[in-house]
Amino acid sequence: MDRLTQLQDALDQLATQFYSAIGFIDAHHGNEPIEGQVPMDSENGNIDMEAVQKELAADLVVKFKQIDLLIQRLPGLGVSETEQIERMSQLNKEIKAASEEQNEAVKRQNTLKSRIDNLILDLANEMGD
Amino acid sequence: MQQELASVFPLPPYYQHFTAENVEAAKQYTADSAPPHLQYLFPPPAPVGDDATYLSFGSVWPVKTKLPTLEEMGIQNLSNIDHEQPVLAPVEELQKLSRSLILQYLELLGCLTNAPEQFPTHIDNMRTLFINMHHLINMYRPHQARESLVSLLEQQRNKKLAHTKEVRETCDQIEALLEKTLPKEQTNELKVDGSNAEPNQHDLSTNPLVQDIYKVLNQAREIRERNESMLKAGRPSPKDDDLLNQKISILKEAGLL
Repeated sequence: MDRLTQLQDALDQLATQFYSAIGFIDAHHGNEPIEGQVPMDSENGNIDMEAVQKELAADLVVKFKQIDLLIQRLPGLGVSETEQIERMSQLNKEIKAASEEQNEAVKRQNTLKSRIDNLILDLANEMGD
Repeated sequence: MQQELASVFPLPPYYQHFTAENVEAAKQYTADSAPPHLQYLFPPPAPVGDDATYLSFGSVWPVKTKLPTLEEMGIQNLSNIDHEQPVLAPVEELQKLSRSLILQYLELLGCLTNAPEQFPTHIDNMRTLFINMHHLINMYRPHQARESLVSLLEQQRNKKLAHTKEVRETCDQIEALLEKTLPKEQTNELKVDGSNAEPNQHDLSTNPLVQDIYKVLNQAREIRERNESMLKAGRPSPKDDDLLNQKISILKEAGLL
């Protein structure tokens, strides 16, 4: 996939992570007892909140670094449109030249092939005698 | 509302107008003169002009594809980049925006802890930041497209060059082999004596074509040697037997034997 799409996908994933991190903490945080009341039982089960929070934070940092890296590696940085177009016409010329050479080589290949065909035919005739 | 109007297929009444009778009846009318029940059979006029829009699956699209500016979308432009000009290196701007984004998130978290009712500001800020980043990235797309084209052309050139090189090398190898196997090439006659037909395993063993040629040459040599030794021993070769049998059967069929 191209880098710009990767970058945009990463941004969207970051937004999702923002949202789900808050959502998770909101759903699983503990409760501070009000003075004079019996503390509420946590419905957390065995979730180690601190570890989960650390993991969420680490994931966010990783995603952010990924985005940063993608930003730094955008294709064609610092190349102007004119330069790109010049490069394209240069490459076009090179491809044309390469095509001609390729055709020559294929011609040579075919000549050689028919020469070998003839040799094999000669050999067969010789054997048939 | 727009969401509800959008559907994959047109609503039933629309296509139900396309009966054989209606299609036939519509032929005597034009779009303007057609009675209401035949209106659907005439396509609407094509949108004309730069600002023209069309409706597709419930969304309005401009005929002329162009990236709307942030201002047109009603979003604050946070970068100091002129959005009418092509951007050569949005790295710095994107980095600034992404850092602001993380900062906004931290502020949002702090706000949720201390003053939860103030969250909308931060959410709005983050939304603006996200849209700004996406916009900058989209503005860079034409540039990336050209860059991709350049690398495609490079690939194409390299492929051609590699193919040419490969063909040439193979041809060189085969020619060298033929020189070696056929010292008197101009006679164009194949000498099948063992010493010359010995394959040079080191250089050419990897080339399938060369290997095939060697197989044929070696087989030919073996057959020939066997025939010669049989002839020397005064025995007819199996092939001679076959020929003889064939001739005898032909003669028998012709009633001469």
